[in-house]
Amino acid sequence: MKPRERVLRAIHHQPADRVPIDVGGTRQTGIAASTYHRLKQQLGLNTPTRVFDLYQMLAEIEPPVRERFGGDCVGLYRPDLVFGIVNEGWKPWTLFDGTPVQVPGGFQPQTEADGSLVIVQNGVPIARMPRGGFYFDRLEKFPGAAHIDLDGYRPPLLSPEVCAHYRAQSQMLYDQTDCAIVAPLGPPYELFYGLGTGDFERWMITLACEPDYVHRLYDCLVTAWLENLRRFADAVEDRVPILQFCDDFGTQQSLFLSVEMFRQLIMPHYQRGLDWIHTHTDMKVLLHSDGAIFPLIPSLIEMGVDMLNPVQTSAVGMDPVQLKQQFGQQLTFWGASLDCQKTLPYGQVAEVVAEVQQHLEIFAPGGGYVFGSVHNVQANVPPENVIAMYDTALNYCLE
Amino acid sequence: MPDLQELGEAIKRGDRDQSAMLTNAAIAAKVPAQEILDVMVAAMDVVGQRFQKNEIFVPEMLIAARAMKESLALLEPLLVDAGITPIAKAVIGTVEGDLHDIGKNLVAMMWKGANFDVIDLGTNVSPQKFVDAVRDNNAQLVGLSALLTTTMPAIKATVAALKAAGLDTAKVVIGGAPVTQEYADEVGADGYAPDAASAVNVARALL
Repeated sequence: MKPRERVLRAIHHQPADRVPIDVGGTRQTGIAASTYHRLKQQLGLNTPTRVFDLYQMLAEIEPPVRERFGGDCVGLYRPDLVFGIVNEGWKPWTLFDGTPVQVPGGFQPQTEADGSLVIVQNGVPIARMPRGGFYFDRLEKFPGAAHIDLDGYRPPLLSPEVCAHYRAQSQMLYDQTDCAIVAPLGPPYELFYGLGTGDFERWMITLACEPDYVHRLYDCLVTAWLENLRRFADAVEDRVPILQFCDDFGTQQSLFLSVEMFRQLIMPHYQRGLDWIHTHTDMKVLLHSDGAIFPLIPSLIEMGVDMLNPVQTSAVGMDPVQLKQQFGQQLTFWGASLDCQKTLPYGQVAEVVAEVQQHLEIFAPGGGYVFGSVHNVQANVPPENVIAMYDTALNYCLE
Repeated sequence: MPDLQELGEAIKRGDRDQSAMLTNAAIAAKVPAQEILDVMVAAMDVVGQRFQKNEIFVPEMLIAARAMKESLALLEPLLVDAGITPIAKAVIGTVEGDLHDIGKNLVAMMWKGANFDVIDLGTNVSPQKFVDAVRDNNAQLVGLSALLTTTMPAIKATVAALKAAGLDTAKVVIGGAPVTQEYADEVGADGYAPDAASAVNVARALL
């Protein structure tokens, strides 16, 4: 069975030859560049490691690695993935932990007196990585945090050049891989969490106190999103089966916001976009939301979410058996492999195998499951644990 | 007689205008500052309990904390005059290498709401900066936060630095996504708080 068909069968809850696996098909199921580099050394691969996501310092997953672990998905991204830097003109770079990598030529951070790296755009610092750090963090204020004036506000639209890239790149991925293409294309800003980048508290207070403003901002963003969806769907035709959007609605202890606030403020706006997708395309919708979101899942399904990632089973209330029993018929779980904060970085190989096996036995039966790491594999993970994680899924036999 | 119970209710609902108005009314009616403060702190305790029980969430907690902060500012001169000081001095920050501050800020707000004097060192704070701040301010309480598995070791380094500097009397409470009670025990922290509301209870129990 080809990877693409395997993924689609799983999503439609139909039998497949094995559980489909996502190795870096999204920016939330990827591998940190330094771990990826050490992983390749164990696999005997000596190719340069490219950092394709400079924000999270994620590696570009090369076909031999994806194939080695049975990866069935591949991501379709903008050419300027983050910070407006185009992924081209690769040059050598050394990460803070000493890992040799390649980065895009346009990556030219300034080094501050304390050793932090700062990305400056048009004279303004937009992101910083502290010395010894593993990520950049944004310094910009997104529209919710900035409480922007909505009069005359025009969110960014996909340019003809980006659409041409999507057209060509989706064709290339479709022709040259057998993988299911996953494309992230949510609203110009995540409606709940992302809009608060730069001043989350202020944005939360706005949500609590200014519902009219929030609805107007959302109307504006979702109108732009619908136009972007039209342009995207026209560019990729029927080559992309999975459309992803991201927003984090949970902490590890509970929801960030009440179900009532979600349903009143946020859900109607996301639903506009998801209704358009389901009415005008065959794409299925994958939501990435971390955290303890069990009480929100019925609303997410009602809103039009078909697949849920990363299924953080270590968060409060995210019991694997309950998730599968209550929502397994309506939802595809994407991720859910094991506890990536404890077992994957700090456990023994046998513990990784046991936990992955246990989760496979819960989530795999009846389809509706795509295996993947629970968020990106971080920089401190032993390569043998990564190998054990994927191999356990790859070798898992469906009844 | 101003309605102190209504002041508490206004703080709980996050009604900043009402809570400020009622605080001013209580001050004007010469209600003792301690009495007003007690009502405010009790209201924030209820907010914390509701948060822990998932009856309210981050937005509602934040507007309550804002109302509390603004009312407390109105009361501040009277507290000074009456010689009423915060119950503890606390230093808080996100550890070195980590720039995440949402959880840390929530804890700082709840600690302020419990009438702690909170010195917020911000993010990416080195062990030495924590040591200096604890020593310079004679802090009795330290809050260390980390979001990432990769930056969690900086908690251990900071706890070790505080001990090495002879600042063992300051109680250290740690928290953040990957942090657990076992980790707190392992690194020698005095307490672990899974969320901002329990950070208040943990701190009170330690002091």
